[in-house]
Amino acid sequence: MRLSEEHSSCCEDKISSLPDEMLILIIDKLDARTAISTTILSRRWRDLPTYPRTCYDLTVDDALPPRYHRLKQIVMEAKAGYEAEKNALKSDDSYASRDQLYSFKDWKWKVRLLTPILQRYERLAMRRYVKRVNAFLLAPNNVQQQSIQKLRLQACGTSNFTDQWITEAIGRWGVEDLELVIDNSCWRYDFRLLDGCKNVRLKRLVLSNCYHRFAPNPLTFQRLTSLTLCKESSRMPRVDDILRNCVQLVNLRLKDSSGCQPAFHIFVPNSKLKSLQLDNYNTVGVYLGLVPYLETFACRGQPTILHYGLVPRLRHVSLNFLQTGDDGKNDSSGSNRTYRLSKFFLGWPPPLEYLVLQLRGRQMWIELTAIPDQFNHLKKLFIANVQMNWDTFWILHLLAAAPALESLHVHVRSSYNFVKRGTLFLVGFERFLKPRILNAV
Amino acid sequence: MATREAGKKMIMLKSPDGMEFEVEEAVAMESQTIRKMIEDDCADTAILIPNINSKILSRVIEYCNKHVPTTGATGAAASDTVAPAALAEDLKIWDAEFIKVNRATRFDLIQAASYLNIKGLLDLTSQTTIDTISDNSLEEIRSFLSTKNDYLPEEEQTIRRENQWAFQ
Repeated sequence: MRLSEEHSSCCEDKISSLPDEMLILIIDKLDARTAISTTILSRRWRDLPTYPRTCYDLTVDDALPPRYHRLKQIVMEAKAGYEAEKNALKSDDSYASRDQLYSFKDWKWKVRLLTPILQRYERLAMRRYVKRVNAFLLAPNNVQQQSIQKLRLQACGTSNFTDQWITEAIGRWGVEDLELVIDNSCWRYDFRLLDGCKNVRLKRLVLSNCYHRFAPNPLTFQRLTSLTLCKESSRMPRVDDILRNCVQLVNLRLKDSSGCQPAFHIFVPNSKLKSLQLDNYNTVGVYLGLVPYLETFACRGQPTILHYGLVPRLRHVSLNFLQTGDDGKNDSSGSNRTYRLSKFFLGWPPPLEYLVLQLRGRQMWIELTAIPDQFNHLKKLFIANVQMNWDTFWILHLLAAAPALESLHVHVRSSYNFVKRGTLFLVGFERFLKPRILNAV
Repeated sequence: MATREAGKKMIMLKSPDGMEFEVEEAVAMESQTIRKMIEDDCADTAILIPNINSKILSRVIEYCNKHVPTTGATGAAASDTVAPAALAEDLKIWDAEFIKVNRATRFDLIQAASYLNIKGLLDLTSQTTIDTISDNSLEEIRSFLSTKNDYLPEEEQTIRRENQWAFQ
């Protein structure tokens, strides 16, 4: 923005007339680094009684110039253009080789052209970023620093200091809440390095592209209450091992794994896990064998087999399936398009109270099959993205099995292009179905 | 403003320069300060708003008028077919237009929003200042904020050393 044009004598020293509390209010909205850098403005700014900072977000993005983001945007748009064309072709049931698509060539061409430039920017930014984080985390002991409660580090690529950063953050500064994101690369850290540290207070940990082999068991993990593993981080350990090692764990989230994961079977009698989230984890199947305190299970991504074992407290299940069927196979026979209704309720379904089903992708047709009649506790049922041309009889089937249902919401979505894309119609069945349910009872 | 359908309670707001503004109670209640006055029954006929001149007050009322239906009706709108996202987008554009004022007015608006405790308006008005501080060099920030560097060179060095990471 242009500063000079507004800078007339009438508003000279205007900001100084803003009372301190207003300045504090503005400073509190700034990120920690910028907030601290305002102390250099003048004595007044230094002496403002701002709240002490305990949360720090150090991201390499701050060191990347706007041009980098613009170029990145161009590549992303080209990719999105290709994806859109690919999906459009798919919905027309015409499969063309991707090499014939203009958008694919366009995308590839831009990637080839821009990648070296982007990488150069990233290298330069990383150099600055490493200096900054070193000055922050590896500062000599005589430099006073406030306590760090929450810390987020986001780097593009690794550096020789990555190990030191983690050790200092957890071991020396006693960070309780750590998020470590390493883009474009992958790092392995041995958390046993922290076993000797006394100051470890880590409770919540988010790792992206950074992993530890879970055996043998580092002490740090035993105190964790919340763990999120993204991308490559989620590939290494078996979920069963994570839960066995992190005995205090309440929340576990696995996100964005590359490639397909083998099915996992959880059988952990002493686990305190309450919430399990799989976000694009793409596992073949989830077998909830024994998880005594599990209350919430959410799964988003490719459809997966869900098998209930002993999960007596599980009340809330959310399944958000997107069938991309990216293998390019022509399946016009329809055999692969259906999804049996009973697949949602394999095993011994727990006394669910809240069930969310979101089904997207062309292959997600629901085949009406018998379901176990065990939804006596189901109060809320939310079904989203039902295709307009689907047979919806299975919904009624579900209703009939849920006598205590209090609310039902069904989003019907049209797949045709003449309706604006993404338009949702909300159909409230509540009123007229309630008596039907009662009749059925 | 005078012809309002019955049933809506009107509130009179007075600026210190003598202007009077009649607004719906719901609009005035966007301000937490006024809401508290109304709830405590301190507002029978007219509320005097000190420190805020009529020019700024009218802008504040304009803002509240625009924002009141959406905050009040989000629950109802969700069950309708009207996409709330489009509505929010509309409001965003309106906000961007609303905040195109000179610096002096903006600072007055910050103060008014703070005194009247209108969170949305406060966020909106302080955002420009926040963006300026985040995206500009020290000298540019100083000139924007009309602040003079009153440090001795040694003092400045100390601050830079103590918070070296923030200045990297």
